[in-house]
This record gives sequence, structure tokens and C-alpha cells, in this order.
Amino acid sequence: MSMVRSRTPSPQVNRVMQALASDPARWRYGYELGTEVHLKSGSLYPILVRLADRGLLETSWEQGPPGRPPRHLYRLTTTGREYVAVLEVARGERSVPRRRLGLSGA
Amino acid sequence: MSCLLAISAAVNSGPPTLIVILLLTGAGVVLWSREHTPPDTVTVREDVPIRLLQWAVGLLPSDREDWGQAMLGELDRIEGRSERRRFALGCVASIVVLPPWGPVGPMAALAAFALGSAVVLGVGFTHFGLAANPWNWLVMAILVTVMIGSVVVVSVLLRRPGIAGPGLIGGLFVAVAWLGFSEFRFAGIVSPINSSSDWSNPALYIAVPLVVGVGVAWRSKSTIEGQRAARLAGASAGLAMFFLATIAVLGIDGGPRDPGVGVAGGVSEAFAGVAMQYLISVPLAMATIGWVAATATARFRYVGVVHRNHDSMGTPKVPGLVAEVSQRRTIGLLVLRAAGAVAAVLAVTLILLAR
Repeated sequence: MSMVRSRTPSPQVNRVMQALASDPARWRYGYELGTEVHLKSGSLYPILVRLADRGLLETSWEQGPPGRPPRHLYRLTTTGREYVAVLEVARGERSVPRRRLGLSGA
Repeated sequence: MSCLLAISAAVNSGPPTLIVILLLTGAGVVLWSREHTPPDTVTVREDVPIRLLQWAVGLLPSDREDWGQAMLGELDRIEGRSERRRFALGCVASIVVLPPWGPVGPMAALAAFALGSAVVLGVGFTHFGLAANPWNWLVMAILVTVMIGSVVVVSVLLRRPGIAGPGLIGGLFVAVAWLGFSEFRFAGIVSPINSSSDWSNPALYIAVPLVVGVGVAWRSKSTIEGQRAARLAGASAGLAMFFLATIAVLGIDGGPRDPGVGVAGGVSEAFAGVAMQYLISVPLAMATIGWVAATATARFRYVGVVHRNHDSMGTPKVPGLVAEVSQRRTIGLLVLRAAGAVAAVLAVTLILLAR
């Protein structure tokens, strides 16, 4: 956990992590993930690189048919899953006063 | 015979024309060779988005190359021309902003040159009333676009520790020597643009990328590294010279001009001239010569060693990179042919000069 910074991640990072956490055992393709979270490649890849650098994302290669390049696959590491869980708890705590004040969406 | 006459005419009309002829000859031979080379066995899709992305991936530092391969792998599976274009453009943008960034000092100097050039151009544009002519807006737009492109290329190349040093030293040497040749006078900086019989500058643009390209390719055992170092030398020299040349243009109100051309017209022409010379011709010539030099060095010295198959994530080596090596070997042969043609033109030129 030492590689994980305590700063709150951006909404885009949150979306990517939530999508990966929804089925944590499954490997995802970059393009498929970007389409799912409505992020263009220009935003998605820097996020994936940062997550991998911080040890939250693991990667693998899927060999393609002969003569075609391999595809990169992504899923959360154990640390990444724990991080998403921590974020959800923190989000839940923050939303309590909002609900009390009637600020949550109807 | 007509070819010799054309070369002779080019020699008489000045070094810039000869540089253009050398570039055109090299490009022509490469294109001709491509047309007459049997297709590669690798069946990777080839279109504008993939070529653009392949070029951008080549700019990534070695510890990020696998991410470039990941982008290429995804692009290969995407259907639809516009979707492929969007994906490739997004990937290129992400490659530009991916950390790690280059050394702080050179990056700051690069930003200073670019910002300084923009300020000088803006001052010239307003002071001489260039805004009144729509043509000047077009020239300015092209100029700023090319300048931004050069800044992006240099900033990306600066991230590679193996080439940043030799590339910057080469670029700086060219800029300082060029200032020396101009005797540190505004007129000396601006005047070689139009016509000159002085061969010191073209010799500089040939010798420096040769040394940088050969040196880096020899040391790193990599064609690509040598080519990138020469490209960095050309682009950094071009940016520095362009910044100084724009100041010189303002300093002498555009310099000598044809009868009937006003000050504004002279300044506008001079801006376009220095942009063509220092932002396009010089970087292009240096990159081409360095490209040929690095390829020839690696080819003769380290046969088959073209590209490091680096994988920082501990994943198995990627077949796509092996295919790339095969492709680059073919390109290397083409480059060698181009080098032979350019060398022949140079030899004829030197013979003509000696007479």
C-alpha cells in the first residue's frame, strides 16, 4: 500500500477503477474499457499507466493470430481492489452529511 | 548531362537549393525502392492512423515502449476509419503527456525559445501592421503550427537519456557555430536565407548530424537511437536559430527587400524565410543525414542489431516487436540505397565546386 498516494483520485480514475472492480477476475482490453467508461484513448492510457506504476493494475499480453500484434490486458491487483474498497467506504462516509442536508439526488 | 547541368545550376544558385536537391534525391530513391521491394510477410494493417501511431510510439522512452505496443495492438482490432483515427490521435496525445518528463534545464530552455519566438513574432505582427494582410495570418498560422510541432518533437526526444545529451550538444554546436558564421550581426543572420555562396553553413548541417548519428548508433548499437539523436540535434538547433533569426528580422526591419516592397512586406517575407530555413529545412536536412548515417553505421557495425526488445513489465517478449525489427531491416536497406544516391550527388557537387 506504500505506493498508493492518499490523494483522492479524479472522477475519470474512479470510473476506470470501478469498472475494473465490477468483475475483478476478468482481464479487460483497453479499447473495451475505454468504451465502457466513456473515456477516449488520450485520457484512458495515461490513467492505466499511472495505475500500473502505482501497483494498482496488473497487465498481461494476449497473443493474437499470426502476423497480428498482441493485445494488452488489464485487471486490478489485490492492492487495487483494496484501494477501491477503501474509496467506496470513504465515499459512503462523505455522502452521509449530504443526505442529511437533502443534497443527494432525488 | 541535363542532370549535371541542373546540379551545376543549383550550386550556382546557393546552398539552400542544393540541400533541397539532396533531400529530394534521397526521398525519391526511398520511394522508388519501396515501390520495387516485395511486400513484407507480416500482415499488420497499414493505414494513416497506424502509421501515425507507429511514429509516435517510436518517440516513447524505452521503459514505456510496451504501452506503445499495447496501443498498436488495440488499434489493430478497431474497425471504422473515423474511430481508428480518433483512437490513434488520442494515443498520440497521451504519448506526448506520459511521464517521465525530460531534464528540467533543457525543457525550460526549450520553453523559453518557443515562448520567446512567439512573443517576437507577436511584436512584429502588431508593430509592422501585418494583421492587415490576410496572407500574413496564413503564414503566421503555419509558422506557429510548425513551431509547436518542433517543440513537441524536441520535448519528447529529450526524455530519452541516451540521446538527449548528444542531440542537444549537436544542436547547440550548430546554433553557436551558425552565430559565429554570421559574425553576430543581424544582417549576417538574415542574409544567408536568400542567396549565399558561403558553404560553411551547409557543411555544418551535414557534418554535425553525421557525427551525432554515427556516434550514437555506434555507442548504443541501435539505429533508432542514432536517428533520434540526429533528429533532436536538428530540431533543437532549428528552434534556437529560429528564435534568434526572428529577433534579427525585427532588428533590421526585415532586411534588404525588392524595390516596391514596403517594410511590412519585407518583414513578412523575412519571417516566412527564416521559418522555412530554420524550422523546416535545417531540421529536415539534419534529420535525413543523421538517419542515413545512423542506419549505415548500425548496418555495417552491428548487423541485425536494430532495436532493443525492451519489456519493463516482465511480460514475455512481444512478437509485434520482432515483426518491427524485420520491417526496420527492410527500411534500413532502402535507406542505404538512398544514402548511396545522396553520396553520389554530393560527390558530383564537390567535383563541380572544385572546378
